[in-house]
Amino acid sequence: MLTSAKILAAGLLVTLFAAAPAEAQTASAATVTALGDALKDSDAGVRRQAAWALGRIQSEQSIDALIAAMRDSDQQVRRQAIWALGQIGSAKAVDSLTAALKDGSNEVRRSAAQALAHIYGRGGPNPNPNPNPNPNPRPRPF
Amino acid sequence: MKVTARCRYLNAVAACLAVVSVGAPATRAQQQPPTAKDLSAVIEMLRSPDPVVRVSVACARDVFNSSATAAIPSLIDLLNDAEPVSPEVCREDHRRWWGDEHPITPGQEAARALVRIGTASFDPLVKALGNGGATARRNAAWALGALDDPKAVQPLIGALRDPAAIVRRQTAWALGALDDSAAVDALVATLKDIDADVREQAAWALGAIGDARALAGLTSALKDSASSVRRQAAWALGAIQ
Repeated sequence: MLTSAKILAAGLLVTLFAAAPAEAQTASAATVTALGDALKDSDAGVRRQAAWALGRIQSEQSIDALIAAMRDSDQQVRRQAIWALGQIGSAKAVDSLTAALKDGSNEVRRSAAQALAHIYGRGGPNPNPNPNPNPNPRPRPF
Repeated sequence: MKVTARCRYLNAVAACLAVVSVGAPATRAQQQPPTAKDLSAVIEMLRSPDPVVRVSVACARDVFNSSATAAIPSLIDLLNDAEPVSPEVCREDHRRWWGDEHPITPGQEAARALVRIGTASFDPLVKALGNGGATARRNAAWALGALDDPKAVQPLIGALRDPAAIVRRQTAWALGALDDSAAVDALVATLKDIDADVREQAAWALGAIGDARALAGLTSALKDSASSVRRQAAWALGAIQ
């Protein structure tokens, strides 16, 4: 009795985890393209936020735009782009991420090392440089 | 001169609240509701000419609970009161809520007191959202978001067309706080509001609700003229994933 319940629970968990990556692809190609364009926005906050969103959406379609964003003048944008490439986890980004290990900023180099370790380690930690990049949720009332 | 007058008022408030506490020992163990007589003294003070007194009474935590329904009409009347007061007056409460030093108003504190009273405040708040001054409508929108009753979604959707931008913005916040997919279409339409703060708040609400039906509208908002809106739209697109 107990074992069958365990098997059922395990089955449920497997279904949940298996379903998660499939659901991560709900954003349309148009959304990914628009976010790629937003990586060239005049406002650094928009660029940072767009890179974060692309790291959440994890579409291979955004890899080239994110690699270009690794040359952004704003360090936070570079770090978000690196984090996003680590999240997507494609071998296509490895050369650019390796080049970022020579970035002038300590923080950028650390993010690049973490992203590469994440790609090679298949699911090792890839901590976001700014875990809550939501610029202004304004959930508070007044 | 003014300071002493305020002090006298504050002493009066303290004394009166002490009476309330003595009349009904408000220890957490035994929650005795204040008697009708005590509550009428509190209601009287909500009408004081001094905003410090009005705020002090409205933010008295032990007074406004589910048994203080008799105070609802007076608190509703206070919703439009926008006279700013130092947050020191309700310090304990405000530090717990969001810890900043913005001035507070009797209208805000009345909204918070109505939320503490709970369900009985719902219908009067919906009425205040539809008529009353702009400040009252804004404070009512906040309270309806904080009361967390899904019945508020429909009236709030109506308030997204309020003539005052501060009301539409607070309404967008409330709909995001209620986290109900029924508001998605109306919030997507609000992404085209004439006021940038309203559009930004609508983008936040759509990210908070997390419904994929908002993706197309938010994608268009990445081209908004205001960078604050573009930022919030990019966040929402990531949050919906």
